[in-house]
Amino acid sequence: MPRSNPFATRFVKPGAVDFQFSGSGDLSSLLRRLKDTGWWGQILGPHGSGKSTLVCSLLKCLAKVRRTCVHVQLSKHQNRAAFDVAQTRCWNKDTQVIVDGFEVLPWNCKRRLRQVCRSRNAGLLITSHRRLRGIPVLFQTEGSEGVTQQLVERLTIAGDLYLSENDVRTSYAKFNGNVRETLFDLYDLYEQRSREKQNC
Amino acid sequence: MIEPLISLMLFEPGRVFRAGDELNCEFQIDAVEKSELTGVEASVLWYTEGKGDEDRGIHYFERRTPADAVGQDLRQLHQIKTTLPNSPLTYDGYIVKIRWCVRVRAFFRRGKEVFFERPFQLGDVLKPKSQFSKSDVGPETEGPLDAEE
Repeated sequence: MPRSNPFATRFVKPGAVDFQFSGSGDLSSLLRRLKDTGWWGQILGPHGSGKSTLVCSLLKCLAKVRRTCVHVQLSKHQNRAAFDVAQTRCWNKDTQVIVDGFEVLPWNCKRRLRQVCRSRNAGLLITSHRRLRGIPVLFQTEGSEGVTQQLVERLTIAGDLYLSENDVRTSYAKFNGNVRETLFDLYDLYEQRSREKQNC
Repeated sequence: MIEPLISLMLFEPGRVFRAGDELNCEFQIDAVEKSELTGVEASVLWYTEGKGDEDRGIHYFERRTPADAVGQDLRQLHQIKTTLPNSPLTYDGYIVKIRWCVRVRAFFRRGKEVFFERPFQLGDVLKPKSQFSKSDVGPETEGPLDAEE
């Protein structure tokens, strides 16, 4: 039976792995902070630093405190949030709107969404690459080599192929701290080594 | 607390099938009270695995609730069978792989769920060259999905 590559999307996508805090901080304190700011907040960070992964980890916590989550993931290709008017009418103080990639929305959509959330007393949690005015900063993500090393160790623990700390360090440096790209690079390396091993 | 245990067995020991073969398997659930189980889903499916977007297809699916089981006991040994399709065939490519598996998901009270997968191979598509080179990357993405269509 063909072996799985531990760096395949299904194992490393947001939700498949939990967000790892590199220093102090944890999900419960983040949740408390979000509650203190009236359920409004933004998660900032560069590409591949774990914003979407953090959102997925927070989603589980928000469900536990009975927030009704409306989660939208946007990208350059999908820059319209599909909220219809009927849907937004149901939003209330228990609703948590989460927009991952808020900055790709056109300015009028951003403004409208903020207005609707305010008028319905709904929470708004967004992720963005740069700071947006009027929304409290909840957390700033950044890539960390230490966390990437730990993640790689966890992903490869069940396999019979070993990637060294140096392999991870080299990839991490090559992609300037972009953890997502580092993991994709390690996918290639793992595949290459796995095939070499089969060849032997 | 003991985790519920799903045992799943395919009747084909090598777990290698050809298109059109009949897949027979049986499963049972242990280490859980009968009243705790609210539903069991069994499916035969394929999915892609690789660096990019993922795709999947469900070939066979059944969902059972206590009302469908003898004595309302979903833990008992249950058998499923299905005829396997012509495509897509199992493929162990570099940037995309196609996997087939039988998956059993058990749902419990208070929203808990547990699943177990047993992979198997459909067909015998040749592996791409063992020695990796960038020239392997291009053509293989269009290979197996169309293999027998």
